[in-house]
Amino acid sequence: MIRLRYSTSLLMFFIGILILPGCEFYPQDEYEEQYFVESFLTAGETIDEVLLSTTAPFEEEYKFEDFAVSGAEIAIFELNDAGSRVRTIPMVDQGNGVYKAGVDVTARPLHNYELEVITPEDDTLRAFTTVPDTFSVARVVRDETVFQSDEQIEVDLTLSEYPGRQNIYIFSTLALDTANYPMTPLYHTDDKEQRDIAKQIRSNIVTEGNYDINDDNTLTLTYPWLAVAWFGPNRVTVYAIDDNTYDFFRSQDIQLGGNTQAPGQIENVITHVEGGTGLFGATAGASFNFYISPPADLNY
Amino acid sequence: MKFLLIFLAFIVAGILPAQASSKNQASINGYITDESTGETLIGATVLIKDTDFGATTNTSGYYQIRGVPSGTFTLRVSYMGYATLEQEITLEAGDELRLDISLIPRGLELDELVVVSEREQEERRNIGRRNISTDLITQSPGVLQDDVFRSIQLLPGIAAASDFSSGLYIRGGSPDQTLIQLDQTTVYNPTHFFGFFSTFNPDAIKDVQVYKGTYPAEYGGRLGSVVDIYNKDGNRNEHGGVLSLGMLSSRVMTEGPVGNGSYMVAYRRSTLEPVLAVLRNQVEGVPDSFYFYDLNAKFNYELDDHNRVSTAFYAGTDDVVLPFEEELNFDLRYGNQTFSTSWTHIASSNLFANFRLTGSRYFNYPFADIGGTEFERDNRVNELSLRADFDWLPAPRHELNAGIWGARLNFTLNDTFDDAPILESTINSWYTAAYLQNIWRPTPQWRINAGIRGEYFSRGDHWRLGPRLTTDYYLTENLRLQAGYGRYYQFLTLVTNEAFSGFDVWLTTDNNVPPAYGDQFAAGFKYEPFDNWEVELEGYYRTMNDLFELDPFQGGTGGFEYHELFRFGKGYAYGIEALVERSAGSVNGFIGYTYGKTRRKFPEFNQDRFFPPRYDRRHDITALVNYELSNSWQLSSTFTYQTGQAFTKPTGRTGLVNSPFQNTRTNTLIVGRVNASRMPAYNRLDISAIRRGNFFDWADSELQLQIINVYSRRNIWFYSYDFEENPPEVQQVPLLPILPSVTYTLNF
Repeated sequence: MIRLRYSTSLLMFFIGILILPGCEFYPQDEYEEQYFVESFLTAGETIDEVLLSTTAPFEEEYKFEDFAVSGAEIAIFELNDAGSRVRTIPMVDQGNGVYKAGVDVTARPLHNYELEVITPEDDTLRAFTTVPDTFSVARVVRDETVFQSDEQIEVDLTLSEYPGRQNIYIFSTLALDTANYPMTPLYHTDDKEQRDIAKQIRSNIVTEGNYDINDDNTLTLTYPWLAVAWFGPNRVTVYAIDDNTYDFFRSQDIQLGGNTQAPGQIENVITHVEGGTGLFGATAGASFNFYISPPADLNY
Repeated sequence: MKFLLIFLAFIVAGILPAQASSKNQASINGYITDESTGETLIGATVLIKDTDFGATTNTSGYYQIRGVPSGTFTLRVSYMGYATLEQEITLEAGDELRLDISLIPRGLELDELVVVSEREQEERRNIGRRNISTDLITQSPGVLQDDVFRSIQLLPGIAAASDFSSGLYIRGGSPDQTLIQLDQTTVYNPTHFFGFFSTFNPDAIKDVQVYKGTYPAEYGGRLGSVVDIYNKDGNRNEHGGVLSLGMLSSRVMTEGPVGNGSYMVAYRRSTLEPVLAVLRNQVEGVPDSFYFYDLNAKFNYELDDHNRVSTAFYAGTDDVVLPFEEELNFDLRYGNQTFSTSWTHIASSNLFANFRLTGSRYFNYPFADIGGTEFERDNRVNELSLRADFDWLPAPRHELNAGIWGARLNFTLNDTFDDAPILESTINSWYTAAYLQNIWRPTPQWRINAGIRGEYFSRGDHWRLGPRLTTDYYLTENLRLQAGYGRYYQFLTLVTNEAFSGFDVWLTTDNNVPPAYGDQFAAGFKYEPFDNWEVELEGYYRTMNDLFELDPFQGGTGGFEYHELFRFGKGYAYGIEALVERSAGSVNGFIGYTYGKTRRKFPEFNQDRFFPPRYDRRHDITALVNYELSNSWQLSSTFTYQTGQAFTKPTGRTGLVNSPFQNTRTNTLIVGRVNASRMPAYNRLDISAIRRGNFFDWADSELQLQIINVYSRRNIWFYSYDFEENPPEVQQVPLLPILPSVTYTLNF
């Protein structure tokens, strides 16, 4: 046996110290399949459906149907203030990852709900949400105007309510007659797929703090031209959203680049689904219709 | 507190007994200048041979030596790049000799072999400190034009985020952790061309000092490092100037004597308009308008032997108007303006004072019109400060530096969306600081700089005390061991984007937003094995606590408390830097290597694990070689090799298919650990050839030909993902390709 001399041992010790920091103890994660669950509750509306699928490897083609998961046991529970289940809404497997409510139950504003999924492999997914309070359009100040004129679409909305924080919104604009009206210049395209996408568009996250509250406890929404993709009749739905939806969309909006992120920086989406990923969201909505005339000089 | 009191006692240790013994001894003081221009030299060394008396000139070019016994001595004055001067002096007890000395630039004394020992470079080569010569800036290959920050990026321990960024990532710190000063005035956005290069015109610059870490008590307010830049005072002997024509910009500088003083005015402007005009008809997305300019001016006046005044101005602006599409227009104007008025006063043979009034303004005004919806921002930082700094020699082996700094800061940030204000923020704060440091030489071998800095930031009412300590020990005349420690605080944070600095926004601490703080430790040695050869090795470790940065996930600003806009984290960095340099001779240059590691951690992010920022580089090698082929030709080359940039790799994907908000699937990526993957290693070779000549006997000319990325390696900047393809198509976005450039300069 070769016995190392003391000085050699010491030398090797110091070499080890130098080499050790060079080893990488922060390896990249390998892909792991996860369950992805999707469901939205809307205050005052019937609880509808839950979608269940798995994630796909990044390099593979993704279609929901190819990754849909059937055969799971899914239920939504209404909870009391103490967090105990007071009502069960069983979700019935329709195949292809779609589960429809087995009973007609309305999502109640400011109530808490729990989603439970037991997968065919006996894994459990769980998520909780609180439904925002309902609100409505108090006054339609202007629902008809010429595109990019000085007079914009304007409505007053009553205020929703959400425990522990200000109201947070997403605006969604649905074009009601895309067959007979052209697109607005910013969105104008002949690409059929892009036209279809633009039939319903949404805003980023908007907080109530961006608006002044009127004396009658309403807020005045002046609808930006940016949010109008089609001329003619449109419907805007203002959604007050729960924390899960807020976290999901505020992180998804910047996933491929926010204002302060370096190019190529990708962040994970914030989800609150134990045992998997996805969104168990809740909203309260208020809608109004408006009409946008094309400007006289529109040349397409 | 007890520790701080002990530390304070240590700072003043030995001064009083030493003072008693210093009576009946002589002192010497004066300015060291460049003989050809009269410019004061910062960091020149004055030694009394065969004694351990010596001094280094301060940032005003002034030195003072006290406690010299009577006798006849040889004074040796040296400065890198200049012929060393030796002069005999005779001192009697009680003499206060004022001795201003001029050094001859090496270029005018080519025959003399210049040898400057390690001890003679003592101050300029303190631990963590490097000086960047203007020669390095103007002669090393630069991307399209010479640039101060890109030259700084060549140093070990300093990384660049990308070819497109001049941002300084020093010892694992982000750019906002570096204090950038021009004539001791803070510059809040030191970039042109949205970060592509820095605002500092090399023609206007006299001296660049980089403190990579453990910086002394006279500086503060940043966690990491300091870049201290001084403009030229102007030639005191004759009128002259520089005219330089480049592909990206052109420059003109003029300087000369005025009465008992001097002036310097330098102007630089982009010259891209003709190129843009040609491209506009061929390529989409070319700006309707783009220009930048900067103007530097400095005036100096010597009132008498004891009093000098100077005033410096800087103004720079970038302006771009960009139509992305017919319905998407973008206009951005941003820039900085600074002024600095200084009075230096020699109160006595052992007390030097500098009083300075400075102002700094940073602004950016982005405007976007997106399909008739307008977004507008008014973002301004204003700083007005008054500072006083004193250099006092209370005893022969002590140099006491003290100073106070009071600044009024104003941060304005107003956002308007669709003609309605969505953010109106004005933050006012006082920043006051006081420091005291004692440079003590207990024996010829030891040099100890112990200091303490107290800082107060009124926004949030934050008082902080930071001790600083550096020690040097000369094992031999040419081998110096060094160690340093310091605690540092930062009251500001920068909201920026690595790729585009034009939107930079500064935010401050507040009641629930405490200042970030960190400790820095460094140790190393500097060794001069042969004349003009230098070997240095330095290791560092630093912590970063209470890091506050705008939460990237923040869904908006309206209705949130100020502290809710931030996320608070911590980090650390450590590394080893090695440098071998030959500073003179027909072949000179350096090779530097850095082993570095830096990490960050934020709650509920990356599963609460530490992660490397994108600029974390494990290995970084830079080599710079200059070859003086003849009096007419000089060749230069730089080579850089770095570990690939960290990035986050998507591993999976999914998406919402039934969102009530939109008519399309909401694509969602599943990503692994943050920045756990690495791009291919980065490497690049740049070369430059300089032909010196004469322009019709009127001016010295210099034609500089450069090729950036000689072998056109397609280093990767980042990956982008095209979700219109299924599966998403991964695209590599490359960094600079091969890029030739030419610059023609006249020195008249």
